Amino acid sequence: MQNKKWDYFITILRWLVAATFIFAGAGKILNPTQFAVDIDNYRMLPYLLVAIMAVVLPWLELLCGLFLIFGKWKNGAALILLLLSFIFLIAISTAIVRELDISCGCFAVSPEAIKIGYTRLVEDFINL
Amino acid sequence: MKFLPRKPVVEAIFIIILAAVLGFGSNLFHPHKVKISFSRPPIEFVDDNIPAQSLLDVGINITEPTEEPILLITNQVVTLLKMNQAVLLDARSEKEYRKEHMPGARNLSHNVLLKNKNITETLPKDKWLICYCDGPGCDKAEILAYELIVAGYQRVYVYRGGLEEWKNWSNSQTETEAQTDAK
Repeated sequence: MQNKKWDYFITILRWLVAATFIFAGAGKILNPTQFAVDIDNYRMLPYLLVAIMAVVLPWLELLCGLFLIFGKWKNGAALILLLLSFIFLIAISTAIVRELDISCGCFAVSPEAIKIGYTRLVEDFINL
Repeated sequence: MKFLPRKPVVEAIFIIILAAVLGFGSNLFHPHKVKISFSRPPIEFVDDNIPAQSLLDVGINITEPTEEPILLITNQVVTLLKMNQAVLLDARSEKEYRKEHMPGARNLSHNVLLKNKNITETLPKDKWLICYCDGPGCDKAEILAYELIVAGYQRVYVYRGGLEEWKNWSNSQTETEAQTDAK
């Protein structure tokens, strides 16, 4: 009984994480150019890598989310999302330390999108 | 990779390959496709060589509202200011504005605009509004510019170089003047 409850809890948690990344990925797929600008604003990567990330990363988030929901290849998807969350955490932390005044690029991609800050950092910790 | 079970790693590699195929494939037909190249695409919407006086001839039709702010470079900003055709808007916070700002600039941050929409009524409609912030890595100017366009302003521009490039330009001007005086 205890195990069953734990399984339900894990499943719900998995779906929540999946929904977060599906939402994040879908928003970026709609406007990869703006997402490239958001990544570039972090000033961490050469432009070629920025462009590749802007094209691939949204689909990676979306696919991982879908795989997590449907339970197929869920361990592989979870591994990727763990690595991604860790990378996002580092990127946001360095941006805060460098006092960059930029949009996060986490969910919506537009100049009105949420600014980078400690709230984003905490969110990323929770994801991790 | 003894510390990781093999199966999840293999799965992860497959997912990455699938994402790459879908990503690059969709990018080919995407209306906002990313240009895959070593160099950054130019950020100016307007040709660098076009003098500010001619900006109206290159797609900026003041009878129709612009959907996106036009990015200006330093020489265009300087010319517009000399022509007394522009108002500079410092999109940073009041604290930052007090510390330093471009000569003649008014302070109008996005937050202040959100709290008091009527504040836009104090801005001239017959002049070009040039928004700026710290520099290329800051997007407050673009956020403000979008808000102004939504508020009905049709001649809204962003000086992407911002305070950073302005200071470089001012210093270069001072050095040139000093050299001229020495001669």
